[in-house]
Amino acid sequence: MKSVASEMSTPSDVQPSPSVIAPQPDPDQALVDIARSGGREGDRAFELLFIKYRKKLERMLSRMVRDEGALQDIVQESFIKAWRAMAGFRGDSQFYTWLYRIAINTAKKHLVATRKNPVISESSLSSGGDDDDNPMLDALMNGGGEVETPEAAYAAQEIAVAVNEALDALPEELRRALVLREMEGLSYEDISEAMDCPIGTVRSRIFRAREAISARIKPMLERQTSKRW
Amino acid sequence: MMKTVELKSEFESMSSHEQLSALHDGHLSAEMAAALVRQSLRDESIMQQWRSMSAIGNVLREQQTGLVAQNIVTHNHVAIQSAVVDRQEAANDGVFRWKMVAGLAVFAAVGSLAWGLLGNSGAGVGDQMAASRQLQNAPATANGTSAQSLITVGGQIAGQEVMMIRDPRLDELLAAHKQFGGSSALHQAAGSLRSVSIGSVRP
Repeated sequence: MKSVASEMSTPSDVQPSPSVIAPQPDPDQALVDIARSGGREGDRAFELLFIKYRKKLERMLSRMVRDEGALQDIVQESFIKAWRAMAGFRGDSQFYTWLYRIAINTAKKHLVATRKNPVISESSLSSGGDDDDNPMLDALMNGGGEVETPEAAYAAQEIAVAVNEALDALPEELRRALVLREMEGLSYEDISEAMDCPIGTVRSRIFRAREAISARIKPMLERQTSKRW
Repeated sequence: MMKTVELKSEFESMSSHEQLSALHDGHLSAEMAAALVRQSLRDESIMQQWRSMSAIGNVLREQQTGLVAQNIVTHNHVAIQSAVVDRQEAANDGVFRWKMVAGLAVFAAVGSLAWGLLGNSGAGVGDQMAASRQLQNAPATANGTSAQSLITVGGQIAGQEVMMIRDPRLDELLAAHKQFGGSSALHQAAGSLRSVSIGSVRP
């Protein structure tokens, strides 16, 4: 896949389109590229991907694995595998698709092992190795494997209520832009067409909507993130 | 080229949080994404903002999933309700009603027949008991009266041959004081009158 930087150096006679800078086929391409490069920035980029997709992966895997503890272990294990294999990720598919495949295989392996031996020790899921002293691995291991407590469930409920209230309080055009993006999954181009406005306006509306809702939920998230990374 | 530069400067003029929002949706260039990631290492507020944006997305998408499930449930509920309320008359409803009436009629007929049979068999039992009581009393009566005054009458009660010993004077008395009540004067023993007659012939 061509990098965005190289695309930006196209000749002046080529009509620039919104895809000159964005969008990209994989919305996470920029972060994936940074994560593949390694180092502190690479770890931080992977951390951003982890925050973005952890819940999504949990929700998807919860259809396969009912046990909450095992589910958290599988999500954690999937991210660790993805982090280890990041350098080998060729970008043939989107990052989430690749992560999804890793998670599904990890879950299947877990289910097979559970059938063979219903009592699985925690260590059987967390693969040991020389990377154990890596801070990124520690962060993944400590951040992903939390079984949802009643307090966490209550906090999640509280956040959901706050998000809804803040969304209802938004001006119509901001609310519509955010709903089309997050709930309908439309691209900026589709939203600009649907709302009959430029892409820059769409981007700005979505940002303003997020900013307004973030202001409401930040204190709640801060209480939670004191326990997570 | 001008437009590209404009777009680039447009992104550069955005605040870091706005850039983060664009990065979340995959609408930020690699260069700017790298700069933002570098900045996030120094500025914790960028990470907080990223968490907030991810949480908002998760909440709204979960709601969407819930709404879809809710819509399916509501749709099914409405469909069931309308099916119950707007029930059209089936083509065989008339036949069903006719069969139900016929069934009830047959049931009533069978019931009445059974009742009649049970009633008759009850009467037969009563007759037999009366006859057997008379037979048991017969020797005692015979001891106290002359043999000529007693007449034996053969007959059939409920298909069985029975013998009845009758006293002509008692028959006369019974005929003179015929009872018109709940029980028959012909087949019942009429105990009190018979005792009187027996007493009258006792020496």
